[in-house]
Amino acid sequence: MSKILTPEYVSMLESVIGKSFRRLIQESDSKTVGTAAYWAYKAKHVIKGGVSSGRVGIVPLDMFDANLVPTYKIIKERPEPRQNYTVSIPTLTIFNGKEFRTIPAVQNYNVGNRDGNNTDVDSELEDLHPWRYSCIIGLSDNTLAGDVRYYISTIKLPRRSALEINEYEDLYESVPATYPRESFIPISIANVTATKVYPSSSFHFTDIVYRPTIQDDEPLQDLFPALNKLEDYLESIDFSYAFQPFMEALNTVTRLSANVSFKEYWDRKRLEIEFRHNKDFRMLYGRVYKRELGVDYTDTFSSNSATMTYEEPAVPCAVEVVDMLSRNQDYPTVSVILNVKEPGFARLQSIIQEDDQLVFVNGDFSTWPDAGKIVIEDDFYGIRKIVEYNSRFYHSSVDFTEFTLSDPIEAGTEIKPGARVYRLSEKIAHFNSGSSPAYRSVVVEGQYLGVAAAYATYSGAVNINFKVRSY
Amino acid sequence: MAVISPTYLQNLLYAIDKSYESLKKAYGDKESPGSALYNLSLAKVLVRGGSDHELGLLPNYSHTASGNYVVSPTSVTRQDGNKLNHFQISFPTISFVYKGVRGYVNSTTLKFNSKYGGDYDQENFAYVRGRDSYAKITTTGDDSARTTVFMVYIKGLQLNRDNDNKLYYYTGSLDYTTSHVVDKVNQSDPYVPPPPAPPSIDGPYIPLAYIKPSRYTEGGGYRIGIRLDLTRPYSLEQVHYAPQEETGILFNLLPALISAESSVLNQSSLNPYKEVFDSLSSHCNSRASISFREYVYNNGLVVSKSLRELYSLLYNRDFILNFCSGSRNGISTTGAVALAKGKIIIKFNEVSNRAALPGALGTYLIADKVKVIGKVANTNYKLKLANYVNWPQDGRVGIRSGYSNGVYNYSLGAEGDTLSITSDTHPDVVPDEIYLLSEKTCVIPDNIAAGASVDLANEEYFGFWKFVDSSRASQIASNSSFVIRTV
Repeated sequence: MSKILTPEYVSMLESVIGKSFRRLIQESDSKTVGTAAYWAYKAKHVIKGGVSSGRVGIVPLDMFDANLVPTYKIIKERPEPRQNYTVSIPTLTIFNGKEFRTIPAVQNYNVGNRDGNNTDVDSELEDLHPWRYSCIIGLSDNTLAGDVRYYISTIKLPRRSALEINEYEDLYESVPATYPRESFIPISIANVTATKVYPSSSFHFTDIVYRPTIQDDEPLQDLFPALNKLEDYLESIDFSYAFQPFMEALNTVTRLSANVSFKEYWDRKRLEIEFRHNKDFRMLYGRVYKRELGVDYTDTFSSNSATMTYEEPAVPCAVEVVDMLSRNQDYPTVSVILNVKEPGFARLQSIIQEDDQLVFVNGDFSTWPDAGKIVIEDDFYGIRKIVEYNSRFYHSSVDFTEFTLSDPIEAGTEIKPGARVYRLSEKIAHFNSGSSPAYRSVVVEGQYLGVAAAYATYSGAVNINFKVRSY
Repeated sequence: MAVISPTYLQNLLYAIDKSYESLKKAYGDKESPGSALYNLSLAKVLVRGGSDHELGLLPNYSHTASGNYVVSPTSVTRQDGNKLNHFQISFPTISFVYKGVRGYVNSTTLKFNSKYGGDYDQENFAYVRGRDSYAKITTTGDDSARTTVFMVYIKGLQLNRDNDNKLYYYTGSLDYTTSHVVDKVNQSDPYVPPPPAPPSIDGPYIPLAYIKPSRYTEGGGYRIGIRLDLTRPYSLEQVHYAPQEETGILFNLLPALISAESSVLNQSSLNPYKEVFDSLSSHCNSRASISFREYVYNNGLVVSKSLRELYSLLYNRDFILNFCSGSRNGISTTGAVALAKGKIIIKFNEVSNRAALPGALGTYLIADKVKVIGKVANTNYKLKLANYVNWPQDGRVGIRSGYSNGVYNYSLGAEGDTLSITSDTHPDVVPDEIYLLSEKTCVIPDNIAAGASVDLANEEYFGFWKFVDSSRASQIASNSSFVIRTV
């Protein structure tokens, strides 16, 4: 058998091609700190002053304590790892349309605090605590909820690093997409070790400094157009074209060996073996062909409930439910109920706590049904909550939509602003009893962003074996 | 007519620099791990065999079904019973290739230390320390068990020649760094931080393996211990693959990958950056009647090396650099070398005794430069150059040792990529780069005055290296204050 038909070889190829593509496209995102497009945006910002709409900046006069200038670096000794430890952050003036003052804050970096995934940051190890975590110090923006104050707060990141102290440039941790961007404005990255707290060096702070406009017109007039063009260029580079010939060649070589396309071959193969396409490679495939390459939404399930993978398709697509029983068996009558995620999503506007019955999201979602199901997802905190609502109201004066839930929410843990809220539709994939070839499937047509939940209904003690995946 | 203030310009240059630097890192090349072109080169290696990297292991490493590369045989020993203070791994003889030449490291055993050892009988845990992080190895089925990774590398490669005058590599030994704690190793996709740089070592090194010790099961129950997982990120990237046997794969996929490489390179257009610099040039010219480069220089703005590189790529001209300054307090050189050639001048800022200045002034200027791979011989000072040079057979080179700029006679090897120092004294270092020097003499005129400048040569050079006659230079410095720089 050709290597191109083996999962080991293809997964290695997908991995390196996917990484290559991922590395390129992230440079086009001006909202991701540190990318080429981001710095072009910053260059524009230097010339025109102010901050872009929707972003918040610290007013320079009020930067961190004068004796910390020019690095704004706080290096604090922790007396002993086991003891509580705090860092005081003074009042800051910030600009978001108008000036606001933050409340002086004391941030807690205690042993035993919990990280962003709600797991122990530190586990005790006799008297020796070799541990470390990273965190983001930022401003919690509650203005959308009517609170005109900003608070300093800290989000701890779950992943540890043992890089040498002070190597800020190498301190790399990715923040999931559902990190609460709308309500949390980072002002510093801090590195907390057993004995010290190291907030990051000055550029992390100056990065979001509100800058007064240059008073003279000439620099703006002369320099802004070229900077604007640079940002546009960086944002518009479509790297998928570079990989298109490779994707075509992959199809060709798979056809030569298996007489079907790359997608067709692996769609079928994935039913027989455990194989998942590389996520970045799926994104590339989606960009090139405007189709999902193939992703499983559930593991194979043999009872009425399915274990979800929480994977999302690279592009909206239909859903396929596959009967995994081998052929020539007596199939029972089974309906697989799917909660599919409709395209588009809202962002949670305010915190949800246990027993809350109101859910607020930013923007106008009057087009959503008057009653139905939604799923609230926050990858950062590992939260996925499906709830039913029985009324919906758009508050035009403040531009948010209010959902009234049918029952108080069993949140378990606090759900923070910024979490994504999807509208769910219920779909049924029905399988009649009888005998038929293996891998019979039902396709739920439509363009969906994945499946939030799936379960099977049937009667009697029968064998079932299903998988839900993209189509 | 307002020109952008130096403060704003400094901030602007910083942002442009960061933008370019980030883009450059993303495109990268086949020697910069993580970049787009690096990963494309790995894809090419997977398709065609061989290796795109200068360094690579020869495949006495077997590719297992699980996709990992393992050293075989590998043995792991816990040495002190209950406490997990250290364990060791035996490595077989390892063959590798560096720049097409084969080398090897003798079989050896590495001991991995854990500074903080927990007593598992009491705690049910054992710990392995990696710097100030630790790995917890449990006796129970704890899915959150973390582990520490170690990076093993071959250190101490050095170019040499044996008795037959063949090039070979004197290989040092295996070494390792304790690295990071990996979170939740049992997850399907645990986060693995990037590796630390190895400690300072001479010559290139090969990251050999990324070792993840973790708990394992034996005899039906969990047991404290070490199961080694020599994961593939490093070995995969460094292995020389056997040539592709399937012509269909080679025929179809390789051209497509080469096409992808060239498309990525073509897309990395720098024109939008040029438009920014063009606008800065015209802004400074029209608003302040000064060139952009002069404006940056006059205001003492900091220009990073990557920004200089961008500017040089776009205009074949570097920013203005200072090479040397002199006054009655002494003469100091900056060590700067331009990225593109330019006209070099000596400019007199003050003149206290005009009569002492006129006359000839000899200088060594940098006519060319080349990277150095390493030392070729044990006895003579013979250097292996990174590429062939079209230099005169004999001449003078500049080699920097510490803060001192040395001038040495050289003789170029017949192949054009080795160079012997023929001076009586040899430099005490193997430099990263050496410079071809050209001796030039300029004449300082009788009427020289403060503010005036003199070209050190008619041609363009990469920089100023040294005065030919230090006493003449001191005489000038005692009677004036000057700077040697590009224009």
